[in-house]
Amino acid sequence: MQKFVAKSLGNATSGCRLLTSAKASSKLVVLSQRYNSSAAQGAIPQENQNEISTFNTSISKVATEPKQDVPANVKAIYYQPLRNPVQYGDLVCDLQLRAYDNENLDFFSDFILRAGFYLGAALTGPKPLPTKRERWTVIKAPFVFAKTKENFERRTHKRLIRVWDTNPEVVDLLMSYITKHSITGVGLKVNFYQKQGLDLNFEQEFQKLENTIGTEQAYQDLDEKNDHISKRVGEILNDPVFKQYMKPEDKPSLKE
Amino acid sequence: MSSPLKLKALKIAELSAKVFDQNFNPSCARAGSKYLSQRLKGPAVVQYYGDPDFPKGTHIKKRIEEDLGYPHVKLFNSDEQYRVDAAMRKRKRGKGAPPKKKAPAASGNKKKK
Amino acid sequence: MSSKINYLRLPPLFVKAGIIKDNYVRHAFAKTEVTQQALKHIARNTTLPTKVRLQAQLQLASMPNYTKFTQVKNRCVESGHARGVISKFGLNRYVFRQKALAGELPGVKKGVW
Repeated sequence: MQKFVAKSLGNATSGCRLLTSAKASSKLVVLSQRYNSSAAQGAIPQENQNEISTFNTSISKVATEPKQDVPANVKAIYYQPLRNPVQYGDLVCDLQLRAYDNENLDFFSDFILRAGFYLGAALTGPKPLPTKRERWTVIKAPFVFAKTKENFERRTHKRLIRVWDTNPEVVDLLMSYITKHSITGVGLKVNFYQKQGLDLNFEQEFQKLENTIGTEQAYQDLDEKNDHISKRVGEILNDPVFKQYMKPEDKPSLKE
Repeated sequence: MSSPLKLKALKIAELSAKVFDQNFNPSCARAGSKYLSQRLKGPAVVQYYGDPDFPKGTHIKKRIEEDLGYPHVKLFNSDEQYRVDAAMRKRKRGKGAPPKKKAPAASGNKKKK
Repeated sequence: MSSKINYLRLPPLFVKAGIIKDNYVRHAFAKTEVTQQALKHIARNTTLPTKVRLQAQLQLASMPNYTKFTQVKNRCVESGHARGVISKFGLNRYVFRQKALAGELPGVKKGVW
């Protein structure tokens, strides 16, 4: 666990550097290699060669390139989004995008993938989830003539993007960036997964629970949603109308 | 119930109920616990028709101009504008509403009858 | 600010007598929901003395009808019509159709299948 955190932190810092400063970090070099194929092969540092080959196989063109020479990161837009490889398979969070129209949805999921890549997060997706179809058949006329009907339909398209092996701070940064630049008509639902160590003293906690069972404390510890009702039950049972019928041995146990 | 295995299973069920904060009710007595754990639906039921504090037609102008502090914002009600324009066009052609009478004349009443 | 709830307060919508009545029922239900659930819990709890349970059931039955959830009716928010209401939108079928054709309901299109 410790090792994983250190690793993903390292990832994150390198990603942030890419965004903030003009330093040529390894990823930028990779980009320029891919998109300026005529550039000298020798310019790329030896340690990046492996990375380049993996990207080369995975990337495919999505639009025709502009003729004039543009920076590598601009050229990247003409290709499918780059991805950081998933190393440990530790699911950090998943994003579910929903929209009634797939155009904005695909555009936004593409945007998320690109933003995630430059932040150093490992993203997979967008995985299309089953489209929800809601259908309504209504009578056309405002009054009688029930034979003539009209059909309406609403399709909710869904996409799933998952974030792996990434530091929670980077995930937060990604989320705030996404929400800041969110587009119309696309809903976003995010599940975060956090892991916690087992440094809780179970024996002690159980003892605490044991001591409170059947006392006033147990009532106070109840869920908030139940709280009002169980309090009201106590009030009603203490009412003289009810109290006269309550024998002392018949008092209900508080755990109910 | 008397067999030791069953007793053991019962004990385990009791412990697990304690750990996972569940009700332990081996005799299946009806204790009405369902009514304690049900979610209250009152707040949602009241919200059905929407927020009563939502500004109404004429109040929206006041809200924006005074409460929010945008006195220069010009609001345009297209429906109302259409009605006013149509009325003006009709008046120009001499097809508008007849002018109001200043005092309720006796002759008018007679005509109605 | 007075703590008294004005049951007649409604957002700007097409108000019918039925809507005002339904709104009143909704508020009355929300106000008494906790008591109703508590009484139900007592009445259904077999571990309590029978007389207590009977008393609870009597009190529950003596509450006026307009405090019961069964009296709440989902009405059309736009037209106040009580029938043919599509609950997802809270709209009557005809209002729903008009709005859907005008493109005011996001994502709803004419269905062809």
